[in-house]
Amino acid sequence: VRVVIADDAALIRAGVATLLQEAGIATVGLAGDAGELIELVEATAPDAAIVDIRMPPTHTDEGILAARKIRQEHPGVAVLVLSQYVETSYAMRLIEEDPAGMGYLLKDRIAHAATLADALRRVVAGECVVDQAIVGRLLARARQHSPLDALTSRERDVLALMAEGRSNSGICELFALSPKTVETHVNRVFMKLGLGEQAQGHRRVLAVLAYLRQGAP
Amino acid sequence: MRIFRYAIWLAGIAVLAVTVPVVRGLPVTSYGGVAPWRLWLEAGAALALLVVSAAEPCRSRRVAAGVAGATWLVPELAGWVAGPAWLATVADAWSRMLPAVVLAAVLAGEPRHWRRSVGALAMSGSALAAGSRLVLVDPFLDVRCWRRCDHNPLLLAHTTLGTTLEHLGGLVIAGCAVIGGVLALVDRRRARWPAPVGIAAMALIVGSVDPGVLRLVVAESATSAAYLALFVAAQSGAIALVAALIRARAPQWRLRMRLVRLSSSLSSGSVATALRLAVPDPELQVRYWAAGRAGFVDAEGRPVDPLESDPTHRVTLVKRREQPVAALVHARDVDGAQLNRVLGASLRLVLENEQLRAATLAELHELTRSRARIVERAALERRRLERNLHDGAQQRVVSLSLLVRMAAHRIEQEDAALALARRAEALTDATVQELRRVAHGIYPAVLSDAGLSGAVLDLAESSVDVAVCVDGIPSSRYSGTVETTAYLAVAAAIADARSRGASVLSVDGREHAGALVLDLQDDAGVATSHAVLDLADQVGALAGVLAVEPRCGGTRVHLELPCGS
Repeated sequence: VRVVIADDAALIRAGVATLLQEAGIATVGLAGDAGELIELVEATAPDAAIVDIRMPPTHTDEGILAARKIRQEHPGVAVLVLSQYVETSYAMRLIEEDPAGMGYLLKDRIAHAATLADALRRVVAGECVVDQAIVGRLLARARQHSPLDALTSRERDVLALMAEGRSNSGICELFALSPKTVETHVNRVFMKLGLGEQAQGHRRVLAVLAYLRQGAP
Repeated sequence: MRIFRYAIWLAGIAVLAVTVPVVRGLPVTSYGGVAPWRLWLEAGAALALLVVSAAEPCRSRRVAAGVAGATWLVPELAGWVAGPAWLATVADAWSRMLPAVVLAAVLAGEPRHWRRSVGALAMSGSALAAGSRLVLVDPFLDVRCWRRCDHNPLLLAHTTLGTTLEHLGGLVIAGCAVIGGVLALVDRRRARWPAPVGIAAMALIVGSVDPGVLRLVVAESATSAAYLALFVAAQSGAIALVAALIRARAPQWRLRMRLVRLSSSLSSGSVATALRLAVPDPELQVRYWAAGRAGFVDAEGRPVDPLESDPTHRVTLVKRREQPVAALVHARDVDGAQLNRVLGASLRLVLENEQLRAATLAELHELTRSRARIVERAALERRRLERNLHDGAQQRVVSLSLLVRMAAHRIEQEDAALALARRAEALTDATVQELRRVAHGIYPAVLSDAGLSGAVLDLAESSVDVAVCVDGIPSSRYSGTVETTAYLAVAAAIADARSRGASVLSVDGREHAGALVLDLQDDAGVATSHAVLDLADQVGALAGVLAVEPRCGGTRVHLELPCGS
């Protein structure tokens, strides 16, 4: 897997590159802002780009805009956005158009090479990645008459993994369950929450997140 | 009583219109028929009494004067030989009633109780005389009869008693008039009438009352000098009375009209209006010096462009003790120096008054603006702090955690060092999370990135105890201060609901009449103090409304912020 890294802090760029190298992921370019990143992507055609959400000049959401632009112009390049924000708004803004090949991780994860490498492999494989801290926050939220209470703990785990963007096969691997069993769990969760048939494939993560965002379903 | 006023006027005019032609045809048996000037005098006196009635504020005097004026010429009909006999008889009887009505008109409305008794006594005397004349006296049998000498069709019985009662009534009225006059003279608290009014009223009373006494001595006749004198006294008394009353009241009416005019021109900037008319220059502008703003403002305290003479306009400064008061911006052909000289003390005073008002308003506007600026600056400052934390401290700690992680990789062989490295790693992780929390508390970046709707949704998600339902929130963007204030209000309301043990809070937001309206309803009772009210000043600075009230068994926080849309 070949990646480019965009972050305005040189130390972080270098550190992430080093950590990824140890995890067997090659860094083919470093960029300091969104403009450089786009040029770099065009020049090196990497498998994925790791993008900091706050970059010059405004230090707000340049990373999200750059990520969308890369996905539109270079559909073969997956994007993993690193962010300080645990708010769902940012993750939703990033993936709402097309969740495939997009990832949103909290920036603290860069110190955990395994998490970072796993997320990179998943987005390169076309999955969507949503940081588990965000999903955990959504699940922990206080609700009135929540249908979530009707879920078994295994179903709850399956729901969390779906919200993180895992595919059925990904869930199978994590729980060491048969695809058939996972599919049963998924169907039961969908039935209990009243989620429709349209929430399939890549868009499933959107439907689940939107569902969890609603305070009173 | 307005109706009565019109009715008495109409009746008076109608009676005049009927009687004047009749009286003109009675050259021997009426006062007015003898000479045209007498008729005019008589009609003038009738009109004068009607005018007194119309202008009179006191109700009983208005009624008495109105009745007297309307029936002033009725006694003359007693000499109408060609007319109906009963009408002549009634008119004849009314001539004995009228003096008491006149006396009542003059005395009525006075607060002194004796006047009321005197008036009542005079009325009964008149009624006695008129009643006798109506049914107990047959003028045909009276050797000294003048106007009315035919048989009385209403006669019950002719006796000497009737004549005696008639004369007695006349004496009672005359006595009442004298008593009233004497009492009025000795009443120390009087002197409410100016002398001309008093004299005219006296002439009117003497002229109307005294024929009743004179009849005891001399037979009544239009040609008798004594009767003629009393007739003239009564008529001219009535006319003089109205003239004197008008003269006494005129200054009051003039003042009232002046005050009305003044009040209509007392709006702000009235000097400008007055000057525009006086100069005349319809384009003339008055600008007021606002010392606190070190500049000129308009009448409402709004700042104006710096004043400079240009090819079409000239600026004339009005000063007081070398301090500018106002500036007159006028056309070039107006002589400003002369205008300044002739302004006059009172106009200058009004101008200074307007300047004070304008300057105060200017200060008030500035105060309102500066409040809003303070709130805005505080919001910017929070945002800046948050950025510093995120882009400075947090970034460094993230880098630090990366370094610690890399170091841990290098020293995996040595157990003690590894344990240290692991602890350092955990500590940096905790620091990162803490920093995120602090930065978010200072200013939620999501607010500027995702707007109020996104930020409120995220706020709702982060509540693990109070279930926050966002029923509606406008997704449009507002100014930074409005978004921050609304967000802080929602955050404070959630914290508040939590502290009161609420289990659910609903957020209902909408735009209404140019304002962002948020209703935050929870299910816990109202407390003595509410953290959300700490924002009242900030809301006030944005000209908004913040209220906490009990509703539906819970508490509702109502927030309105003008959002200029």
